[in-house]
Amino acid sequence: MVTSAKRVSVAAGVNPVRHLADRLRDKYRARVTGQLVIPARRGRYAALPDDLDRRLRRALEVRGFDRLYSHQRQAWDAVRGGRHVVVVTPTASGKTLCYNLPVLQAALERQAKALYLFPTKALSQDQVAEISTLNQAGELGVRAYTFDGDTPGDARKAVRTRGDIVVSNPDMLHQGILPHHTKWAQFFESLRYVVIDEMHTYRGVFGSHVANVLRRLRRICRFYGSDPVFILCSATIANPAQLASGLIGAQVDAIEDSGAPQGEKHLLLWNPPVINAELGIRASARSQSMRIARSAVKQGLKTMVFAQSRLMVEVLTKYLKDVFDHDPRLPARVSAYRGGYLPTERRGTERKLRRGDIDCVVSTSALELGVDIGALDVCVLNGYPGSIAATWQRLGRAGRRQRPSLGVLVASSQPLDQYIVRNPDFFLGASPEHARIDPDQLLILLDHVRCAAFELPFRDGEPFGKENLDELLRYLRDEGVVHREDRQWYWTADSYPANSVSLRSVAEGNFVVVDISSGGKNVVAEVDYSSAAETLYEGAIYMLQATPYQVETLDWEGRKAFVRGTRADYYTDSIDYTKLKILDAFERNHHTRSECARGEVHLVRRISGYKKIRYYTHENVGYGSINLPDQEMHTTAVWWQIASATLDSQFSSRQAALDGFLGAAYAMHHVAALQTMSEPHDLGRAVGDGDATWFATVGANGRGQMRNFEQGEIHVDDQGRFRPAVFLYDNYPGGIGLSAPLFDQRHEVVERAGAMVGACACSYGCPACVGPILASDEQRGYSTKRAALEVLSLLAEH
Amino acid sequence: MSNDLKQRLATLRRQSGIHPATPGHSDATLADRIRRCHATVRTPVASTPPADDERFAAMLGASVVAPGLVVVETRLSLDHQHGCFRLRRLRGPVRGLAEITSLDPRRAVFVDTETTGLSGGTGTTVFMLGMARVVGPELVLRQYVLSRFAGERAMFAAAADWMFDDAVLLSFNGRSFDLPLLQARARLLGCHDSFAGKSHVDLLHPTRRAFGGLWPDCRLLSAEQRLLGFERINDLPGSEAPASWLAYLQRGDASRLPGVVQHNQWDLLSLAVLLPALADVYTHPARWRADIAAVARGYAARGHELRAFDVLQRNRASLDEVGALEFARMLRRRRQWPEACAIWQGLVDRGNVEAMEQLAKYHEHVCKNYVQALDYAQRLPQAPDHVRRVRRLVEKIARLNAALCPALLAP
Repeated sequence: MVTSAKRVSVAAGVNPVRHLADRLRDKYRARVTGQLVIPARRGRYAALPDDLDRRLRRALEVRGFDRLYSHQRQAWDAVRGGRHVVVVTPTASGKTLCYNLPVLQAALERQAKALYLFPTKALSQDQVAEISTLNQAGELGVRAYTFDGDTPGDARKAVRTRGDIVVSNPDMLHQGILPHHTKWAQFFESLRYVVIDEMHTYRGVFGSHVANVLRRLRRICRFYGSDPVFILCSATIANPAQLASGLIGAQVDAIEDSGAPQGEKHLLLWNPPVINAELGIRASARSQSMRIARSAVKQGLKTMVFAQSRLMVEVLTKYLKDVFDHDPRLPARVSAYRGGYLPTERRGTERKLRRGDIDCVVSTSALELGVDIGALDVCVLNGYPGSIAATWQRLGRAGRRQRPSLGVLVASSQPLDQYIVRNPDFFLGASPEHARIDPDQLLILLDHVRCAAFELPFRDGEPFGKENLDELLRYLRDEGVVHREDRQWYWTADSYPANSVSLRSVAEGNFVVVDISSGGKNVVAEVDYSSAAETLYEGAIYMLQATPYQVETLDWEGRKAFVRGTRADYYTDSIDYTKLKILDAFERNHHTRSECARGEVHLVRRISGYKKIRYYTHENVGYGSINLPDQEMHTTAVWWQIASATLDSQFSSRQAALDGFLGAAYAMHHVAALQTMSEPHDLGRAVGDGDATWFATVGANGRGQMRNFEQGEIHVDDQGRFRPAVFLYDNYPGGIGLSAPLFDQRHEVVERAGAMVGACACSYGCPACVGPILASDEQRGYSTKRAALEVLSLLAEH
Repeated sequence: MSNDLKQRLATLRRQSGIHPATPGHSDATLADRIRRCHATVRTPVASTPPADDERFAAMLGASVVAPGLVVVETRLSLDHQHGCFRLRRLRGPVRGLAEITSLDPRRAVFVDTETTGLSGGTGTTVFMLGMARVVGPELVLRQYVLSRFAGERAMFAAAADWMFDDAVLLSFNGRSFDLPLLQARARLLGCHDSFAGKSHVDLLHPTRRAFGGLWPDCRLLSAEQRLLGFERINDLPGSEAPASWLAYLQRGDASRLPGVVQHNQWDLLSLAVLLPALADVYTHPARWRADIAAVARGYAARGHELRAFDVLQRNRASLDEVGALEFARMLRRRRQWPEACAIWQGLVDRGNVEAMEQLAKYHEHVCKNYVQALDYAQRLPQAPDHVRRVRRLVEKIARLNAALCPALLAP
């Protein structure tokens, strides 16, 4: 740190962040496609409330607050008026005081209790630390405790009976508190406030589950005669009030105008230079992110790099460590941070970041949340995070302490990234996404009806969710888990339903990674079920803090992967195939030449093999096969098809049509994600026929291949029927309501995909429009792009 | 919104079974939608209304207490024999347990429940509450059994009626299972919980202390076989109790319930004789092949130092190494040095390291015989503590020598 500071040759008085921003802008004029400078903003303040408890006022004064930010005062007034509120203001704008103040006041006034929910345990611990500093400053005597999986058995009773503020997470509320609510009777009787921070994380499947957990919480509160006020906080999303009211099932006021001062922010949109104009191939985002991070760290700036995948975190960390940490005797300056690391290791990295012991951290979205990591100067996003909200959330990690900060969004060759950097005004002017939840998704709702019936017998006519509760209960009765007697539904099964419902996923069971290098068996990481198949197959290189391990055996049933340290000079990337079968169409839009429909599909995903990719050169150095169970899912999808006769007349060959479909699907998938304001991962894409007899992928020769699970590659002309479809499906079992808005926007998706491909500067197709094509095709003059445009124009007749 | 729901359901009803091409439309209800999302298809359970209370009572040899509640009452003379024990032991005070040094059995209320589940939580119902008390010359067992949920409140009321102020509850694993469940249900029903606030001795704890290291497990069944000499014949395993009651509730099938009543009755009887049996064990641990040191520790932990000492002294011949060390430790605390040293010496001869260390300490701090202390200390295995001790002793000896013989210090 000291040595690097010496190398900096910044003129006195020039802020090093501004200096770096200027230098990047000047030196790489062609790469910076858009920029934004948000000037520093002064704070707006309001007086401390008159009725603020004397002790609380003193505590604030001791901590140096003699007034509030305007939004904090607004929150106080609303909450004191008994209204549910959601506070949406930037990172470091003093959000915690918005809820701590009314909560502490009520605890002092009338021993009111509060429940705080954070999405992760780490955030809970930060919060308790924060309350105790206020507590000590004013000698308030308010007791705040965490209650989570780590709370020892003998301490739990004290938390239940003596805690004024209990800090927990939705999973613990779901499995540990609500099913034992009678032990918490005193707590629920005096519960006045429920605080939900990081509300924006409660979307999709997780959010739909949490909404149901909150339905159960409010039901239990009613049983004990309380009706708490909810105070929610969120990063910026398009619909905070709507999400909040969806989560808690009541009207919520939104406070969105921050009164906190803000340092100057520089934002650069960065497109890597084209290195092969004909193929439209650009330098990798990784090489650019490396370059920017390297100069920032060399200038002595605390830097953070966000990568899209755990794999990319490890690759970037390795490269940055090769630059900055080549001397093993010195403490590491670069660190990786991501899900899957053990909690102690993550806490260690957080601590080093706060103390400034680390100069650069490379992370996945894991650090997007409000984990306290202190002030950072520069934030580099290696690739567009997939949503506007997440982009701002990550950029907000730099410049917390009202100092100038720099954010750089480095585009990858993905269409979405290219769309964003080539249309900077779209990004800079766009509203962030809507966070969607579907609390009445049938399987999720049913799970929570079970849990709720266990907690308290349902009465006939009692409301819970928007489906017909009576019908659901009758279904559960037929299953033998509830029993109706005297207009009440009693739980009768010998089980604890909350234990079999995981809020975070629809599938269950994390995998542990066990290191057997040194003869022992050390658990070194955890991997969630949904990503286990694509990261822990036998032969996979699994990276931890840039140290490669190779998976020797995978015990799928036991949820364990045994790994050994390795010196391999390559990493691995899995290859997967998806086949889809249409079960039913809910709605259809039929035209003479093409058709678009929405309905239910059955999907089978197989991970069949992997590629070995050498570091630095990124060449493919081999393949391996994978033998894992297929993953099945029922979900909803929107699909587009073209009539066979039209296909025959418009395309020279089936092969050409197939290439066109694959190219069109690639473009439509990305446009659809943007159009429905969801993240690309929430939607899946596939090309195949609707009967699951075949599906199509881009083969190693760069051309479309027709395959099935039984025979592998099959010839396009051997199939009797040829009716390919582009599928975009809701990537969660049962679907979480993404296909309906997608069907509504079916025209826009096709039109904009067509416009995007048509406007692309490449000649034959490129990663930014229809996906990568091979040099040989370019030489032959074959254009996937033309085929894709043909498909899109046929689909566009709607 | 409800209109929308209707439309969704209507759309779903149009769905044909599995294949979109088949035109035949079957009714798709909510249940069908759920089943389709699940991988497995479950067979629906038929629901038969349960028989009336009188018939239910008759099947169990019980009498009706209130709607939904019956009681099986059994009176056993205190001459009754259960395994190798007679209930007669409950005539006079039971003495010797670490948890309760003397108990008048007339204050004892033995409690054991059968429930709809073994996982705990508010959704687990107590469908059978067994209680037993010594009343005059008899042990009276009352087993309250629900014929439906409606009887739950009455069950708590009946239990409260039979309860009294200075009752001492006796259970087996009741502290973590039966009583929290009763408490949860009482709270859920909003009725008085007569079990709350009573003294409670969970006999699992003294059993586990005395035999935990010696028996493969400490379930009540093991205590019956190894301690009480009681063998159950055709016992319905406790784990089948939930299904037995649910079979009645859901299908009117009461065939297995008499088995549950018998099982619960055996539990209560075993509890009743386990109390005096354990008192014997704690008084004569060697005779019962119990862990003597653990029994002594149990007394000591509850402040009965004298009893702890007494147990060890009386059973000194049967002590294992751990017990002997424990005994020597107590002797040391009472400054009975010769006795303590004799034990340590015996253990040192068998190569016991801790005894060696104790002797080193004794010679260093009590006798101030540093040379002897050093002799023991040097035989201790290498460890930071031990190395420090040796170094310190060498210094002490040197200093002593210097004091005795100042010439040694001369340059």
